[in-house]
Amino acid sequence: MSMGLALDVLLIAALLLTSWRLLEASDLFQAIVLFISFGLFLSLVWLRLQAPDIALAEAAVGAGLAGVLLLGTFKGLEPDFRKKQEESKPCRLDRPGACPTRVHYLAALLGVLGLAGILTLAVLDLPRSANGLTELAVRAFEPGGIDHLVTAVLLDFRLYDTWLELAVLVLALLGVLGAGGRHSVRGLEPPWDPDPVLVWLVRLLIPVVFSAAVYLLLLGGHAPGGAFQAGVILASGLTLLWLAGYRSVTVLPRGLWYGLVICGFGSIEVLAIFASVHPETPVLGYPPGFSNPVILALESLATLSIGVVLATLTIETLGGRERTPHYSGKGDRP
Amino acid sequence: MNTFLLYSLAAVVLICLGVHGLIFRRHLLRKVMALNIISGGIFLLLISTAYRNGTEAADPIPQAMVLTGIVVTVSATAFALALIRRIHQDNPDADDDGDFGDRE
Repeated sequence: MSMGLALDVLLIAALLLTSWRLLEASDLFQAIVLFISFGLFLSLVWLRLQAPDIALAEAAVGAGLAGVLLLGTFKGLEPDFRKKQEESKPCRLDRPGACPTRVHYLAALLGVLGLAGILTLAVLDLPRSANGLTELAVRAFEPGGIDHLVTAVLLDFRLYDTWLELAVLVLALLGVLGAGGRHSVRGLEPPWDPDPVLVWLVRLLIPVVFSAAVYLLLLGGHAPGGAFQAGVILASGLTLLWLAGYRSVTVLPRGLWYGLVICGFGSIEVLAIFASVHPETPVLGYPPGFSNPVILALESLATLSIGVVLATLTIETLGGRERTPHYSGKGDRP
Repeated sequence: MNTFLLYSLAAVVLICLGVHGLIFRRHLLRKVMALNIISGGIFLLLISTAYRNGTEAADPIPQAMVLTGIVVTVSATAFALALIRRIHQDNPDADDDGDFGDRE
């Protein structure tokens, strides 16, 4: 018990310390590195709180992918970032509106403290021990089907969330490509020449990465794992392939790429249409007797979609500098 | 003090640190990181509530919600970063202290 408590205190201290430092550190690069370690501490916390599904997703997405996106953007924004420190510039006096005064900061601080008070009261008001919806989920559970509760919730009881989540991914892709002024990442080259060590490592890792993705996908039915974790691993594999100069999502024909991006969302839509013409199937429910194969098919398509969309987002972020007029080859190669 | 309370209170501190950073930091990248810290705090609050009944199996529904939330967060982060890159690209000589966008 006391060992557990010591671990809790250590983890929480690490979490709070890294988040405080990453917001306060004057060096932006240091802040991004701290952000990545914040994600890793958070995934340790998920393991401690018995949420291995989330720990897997957090380590891959929160720490890995978000870190890569931040570093890529940072490199694009400030190729010579060491020359000046953030927030050392004085506020411009010719624009009074842009200059927050001490009163503004005081008001914001009071607001934050008020928020802290309200949230603390809310947390203290919660019952200390409760099962939540666990029993409901266990009762609604069909024997012989999926026997991992989290996957069952994602793909059976709350399929609507998963569906809209896939829509959010497609929307984010549209937004990112739109803001970058591009239709697709077809033909984009990596921002630097592949390093021989990286090529060797990628050749070693790629079979492992792709088999891990398939394994996690199939494991999702009865243990921690599933479409999201598998999709993220697929995305990292595709990005690594691209970085090492191999074929990746950038050589896909446009039609196939569109198809892969939309297939996760589209397959659940087909299911919804099917349910609406079959009055005996519930909304977003599975045709009776076919739930297992249908769930596996949906999960596989969702994995493909998540992998391709996230890999495209990363590639656009890392290589997005290449053909824009302002930055053609200006200092963004290491 | 039980584990649920410890982690929930840590989540509250995280959320408030994130809101503080979102208001007080001026660099846009830092604001994006602050948003991510807020979402980390909210996830921690949800998962610690799922863990309330202790060492037995945790509540799967908040876990599924957080799993969805992580993917949505990274999508939103990617979009915000794309907007930052675009702002920077359209104002290449703007200051880095967050007032990229408001030039004539």
